[in-house]
Amino acid sequence: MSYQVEVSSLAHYALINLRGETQVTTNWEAVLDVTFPKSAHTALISRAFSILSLASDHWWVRTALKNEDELFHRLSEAVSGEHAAVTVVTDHFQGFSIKGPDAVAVLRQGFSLDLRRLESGQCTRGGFARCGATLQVVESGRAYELFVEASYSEYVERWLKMAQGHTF
Amino acid sequence: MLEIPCPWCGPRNETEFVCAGEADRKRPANPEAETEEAWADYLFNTTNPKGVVREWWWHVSGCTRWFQIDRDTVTHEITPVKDPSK
Amino acid sequence: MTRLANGGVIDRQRPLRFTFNGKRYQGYEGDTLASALVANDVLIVGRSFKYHRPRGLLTCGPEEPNALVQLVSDGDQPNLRATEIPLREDLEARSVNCWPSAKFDLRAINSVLAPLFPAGFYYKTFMAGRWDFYSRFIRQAAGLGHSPKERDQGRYERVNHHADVLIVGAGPSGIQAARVSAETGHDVMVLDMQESPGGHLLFHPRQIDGRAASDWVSREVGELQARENVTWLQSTTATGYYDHNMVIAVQHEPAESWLKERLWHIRASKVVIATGAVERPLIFPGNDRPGVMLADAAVRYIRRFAAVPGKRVLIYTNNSTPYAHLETFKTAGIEIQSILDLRKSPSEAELSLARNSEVPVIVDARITGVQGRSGVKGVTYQNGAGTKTVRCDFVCHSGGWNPLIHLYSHAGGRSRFEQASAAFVPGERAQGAYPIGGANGTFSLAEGLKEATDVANTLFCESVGNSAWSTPATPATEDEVAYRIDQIWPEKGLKGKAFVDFQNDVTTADIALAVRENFQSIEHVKRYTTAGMAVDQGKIGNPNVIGLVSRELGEEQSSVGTTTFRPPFAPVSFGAIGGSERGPLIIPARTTPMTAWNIENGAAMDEAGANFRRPFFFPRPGEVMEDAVAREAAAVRTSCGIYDGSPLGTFELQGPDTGELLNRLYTNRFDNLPVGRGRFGLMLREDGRLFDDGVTFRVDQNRYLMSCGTGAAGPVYAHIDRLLQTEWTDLNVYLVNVSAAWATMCVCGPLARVVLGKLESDIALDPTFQFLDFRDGALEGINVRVARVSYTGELSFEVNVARRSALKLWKILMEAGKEFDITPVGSETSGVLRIEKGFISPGHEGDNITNPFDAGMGWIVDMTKSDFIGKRSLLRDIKLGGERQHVVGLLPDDERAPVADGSALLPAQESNSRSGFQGHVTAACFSPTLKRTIALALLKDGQNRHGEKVVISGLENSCVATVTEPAFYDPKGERMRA
Repeated sequence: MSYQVEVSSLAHYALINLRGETQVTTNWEAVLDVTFPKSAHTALISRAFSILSLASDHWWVRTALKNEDELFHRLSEAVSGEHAAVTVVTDHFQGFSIKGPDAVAVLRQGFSLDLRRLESGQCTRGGFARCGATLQVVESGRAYELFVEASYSEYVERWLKMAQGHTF
Repeated sequence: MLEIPCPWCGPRNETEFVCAGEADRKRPANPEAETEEAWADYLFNTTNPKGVVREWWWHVSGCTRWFQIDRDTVTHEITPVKDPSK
Repeated sequence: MTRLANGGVIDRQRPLRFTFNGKRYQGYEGDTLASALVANDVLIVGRSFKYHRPRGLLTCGPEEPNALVQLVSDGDQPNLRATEIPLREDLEARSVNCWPSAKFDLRAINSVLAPLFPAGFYYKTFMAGRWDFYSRFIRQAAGLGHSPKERDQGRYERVNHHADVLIVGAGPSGIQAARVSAETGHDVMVLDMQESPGGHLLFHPRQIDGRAASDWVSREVGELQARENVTWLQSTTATGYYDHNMVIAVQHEPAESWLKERLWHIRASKVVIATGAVERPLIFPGNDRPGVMLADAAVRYIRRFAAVPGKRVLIYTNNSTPYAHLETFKTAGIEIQSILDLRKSPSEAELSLARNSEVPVIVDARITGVQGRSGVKGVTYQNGAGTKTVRCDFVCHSGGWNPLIHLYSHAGGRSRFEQASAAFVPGERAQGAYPIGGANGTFSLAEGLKEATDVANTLFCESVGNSAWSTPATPATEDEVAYRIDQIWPEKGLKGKAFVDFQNDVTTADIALAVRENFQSIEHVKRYTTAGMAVDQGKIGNPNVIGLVSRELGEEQSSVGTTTFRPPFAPVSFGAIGGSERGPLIIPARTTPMTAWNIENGAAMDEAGANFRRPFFFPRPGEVMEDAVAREAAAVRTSCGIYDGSPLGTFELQGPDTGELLNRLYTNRFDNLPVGRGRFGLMLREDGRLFDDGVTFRVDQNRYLMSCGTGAAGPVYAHIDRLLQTEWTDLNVYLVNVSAAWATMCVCGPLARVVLGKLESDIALDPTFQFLDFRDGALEGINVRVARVSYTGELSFEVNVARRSALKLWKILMEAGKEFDITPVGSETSGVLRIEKGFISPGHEGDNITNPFDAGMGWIVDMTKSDFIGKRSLLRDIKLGGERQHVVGLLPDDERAPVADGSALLPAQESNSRSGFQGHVTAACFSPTLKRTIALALLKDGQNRHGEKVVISGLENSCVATVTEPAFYDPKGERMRA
């Protein structure tokens, strides 16, 4: 017996970390032809990439792994000469998918933030299982993706197994 | 378990933060101009009031912003401090 | 007859066998261990803590002080209350604190010796001779229960939850508050510690809205539990109320079959406290005899469990409550000898109830003794007419009611003494705590229901600001006898023991003694007598203690006040607190891409800094640690080793002001570092002490890559981020943590170049690639950044690669180096290598007291820089002068002498100018390269004492050693610059 939930590791994603003030953000917006999400917890989800707002001057651009190089170069060139930081952080994080009717029963063991307040498509960062995580809400109450620092990936895998109700 | 109001992320448990002490204690602009007593006071002493203290808090597990709050050291009542730069 | 044929919630179709103190009994599904013992006529359930007096059940709830048992059949848990244990098939329990049995307890000799054990006796005794002589005997006699020998196999979960309104207690007022709150659509959570909702309605025949109260309960609760916005938990105890309306609760036996308990951390906007009240005892000689029970408890056993405590009862009271119990006793076939009322004039309503049940009432009566030792035979009392002894086989008493204000008080709420109900009730509120019903001193059912409606109403208004709904009606109840109480205390100087704290055996004489010895504060009386300090935390006893102290001092109870209430309200298992953080999850262990490979290849693993699991050494078959370390060190010094340096902190710093920032962080300059080069930097704390060191590379004009020690990575990141965001906000620099994105493998040793040269690569490795250069390129098609950094002191190439390709590259390097016997190197070995080189480790030689000059690192400190973190404090150190501890090397005269880290340094025999502690060993080892013991140490004025002798004094060994330069091998660093 265990919770009704499916947990798996994510693969084939790329994460690019962006830091920059308003003036450089417009450069990125021009290059990607989008408007960056500017308020807390918001994200822009499109077919080619997602843009997650993590702080007032901090975003993640998430795309398929095969587009990592190309996107990194486009974003870097867009702000060359400006004070901005574009960093590939794909390898710094490990992603997990948690879905099912009992997804929140698992997440609430690790997150202490108020999960009621997060709607589908939103994102946030918070303490999780003593190592911290970035959380994306795919479908509120049913499907979530979270990223932890890669050095914690084995620990978090074990943690998720335990949280589901499995033994090992 | 205090609940700290992060200006970006909203209220979160104190375990997501690091408290970095009294906000009114700024690093002297010219440390070499400080007397030994003043420098030692900056390094080692805090005001430690019974009552409201203005503190820096760092949302290390969240948005990683640093912000200030006023906290009553007796009742733990917390009042957010408006960021003067915003 | 002790089990009624009908009535109660027990299932007579499901008998259960259980064992208590070695004897077998039968109970039923629905019993608790306590109720089953009552039904089986088991009077003695244990022995008291100090005097080992036989004790029976006093209560029917979690406040039970006497019936503490070891639950042998469930994890051998000690000190559980029998009233809280649901009966299960084959349950086995034993009384604690008695030997060989509860009935015949040899330690009852303590009772005879009682005059030697008044309150605070241990402050006045066991003074002659050594304490550990006495402690051996005291240890045997003291304590309750024993620790289980087996590990707890249960699984526990900890969850975080948010609610708009949290209601603690599902008695009538809690249920009504839940009804009102749920209608508003807000998130409501209800917790109740019993298995079933209803609170005191479970035990008393009341009417609500013209029908049986139990009907009202099932209908209301059933409807509320079905609502989406309501979370309802039974068998869940709220144990504490913390800051900002955080309440922690333990859920016993959750629905999830794999969980034993679940710990809830609940953050609520408002908390309604509907925890009710518990009855308190009267104080009279013999009030602790088996068969003397609280009146409400007796009614609970009869009504809920159909278990009858005796055949002929005497009721003793100072208030109106027991008058309502008379019909219950009679219907159960119990003969009521009489009601002894301490008061002179019970009300007409009370007397009328007694008349209806044909029970004589004797007013102004005072019990002076209870006959019988292991059971009640009779009672002696005094009243206006003189002294009389009557026969009975159990005594029910009631001294009034104690509202359970614990959670309210944890929250910071104050209490005040309410004269009319003789109870401590909630006073000035703190946080969002709202008491209702019995917990608020509102003992009337009708008033409690109304209070629930009114309070729940205001909550909603307060949090939303409008009232655009219609409040559900308050249900009606039948008339009840008004609660009246007169706290008449026992006279002073009682003959025989009258108990106020049953669990710690505290009597009226002890309270009087404490006050005589001038303990005037209630907190002092508590600690001196230990009243209120046992497992039950004074739930039933404390208000009586306060009353007696007030009388002794001649003060009002409100000014004596209560002692501080602290969580937990009821004991919490360690399993629940630990949750899943045990066994394989006890620490959040971190790994590198090579960790699995390390384990597969036999590495001896251990925890190193920042929770990383590290290989300490790689023993081959037959090798012990010293052999492996010697072999690995030899490989690094003479051929080729490979070391996983991935845990090191790696940060990207970008922006036009990065050079300036680094100038202020490090003791040396970085703004003049050429692109493509690295530089070793030293970071100090603001107080001038060593903080961290590492190599930082300039990747581009405005981009640097900083590396720090594994354990220092977190603090260094915090240090830099704090300065950027709170002090130097004008500096344009972005700090990005990429520590886990990069894996680092160091190929080190004289053959390092040769090994790397075997790989297909576009990176020239000839000597134009100088020490501290770095070059980007590809090895076997894998993108890398190779840097010439050395932590071992040998020729070393640090290969940095993206995590995704790390293990692949590691294996390629292992294969390429096979012909040279490339040797994986562990942390133990790298530690030895750095000691040989005398490379300073801030964690060891820094030790929070060393500045760079003390450590011989003055060469890296550029005091001409206008400012850097730590500079002002270095100026202070220089100005103050005085004797400082310096880093030195030590060579023991006996080359094989064992030396332990931390050993003290003392003057050698010959020294005539020094005495006392001279310093300590910061790192010692047997050097495989030099084939002798070496050590680094901090020594007073050490830089001026080279050649002198000191004594190294460890816990187990001492030896004489010569003070030297802190570098034993290749002091000029020629080998790593090759």
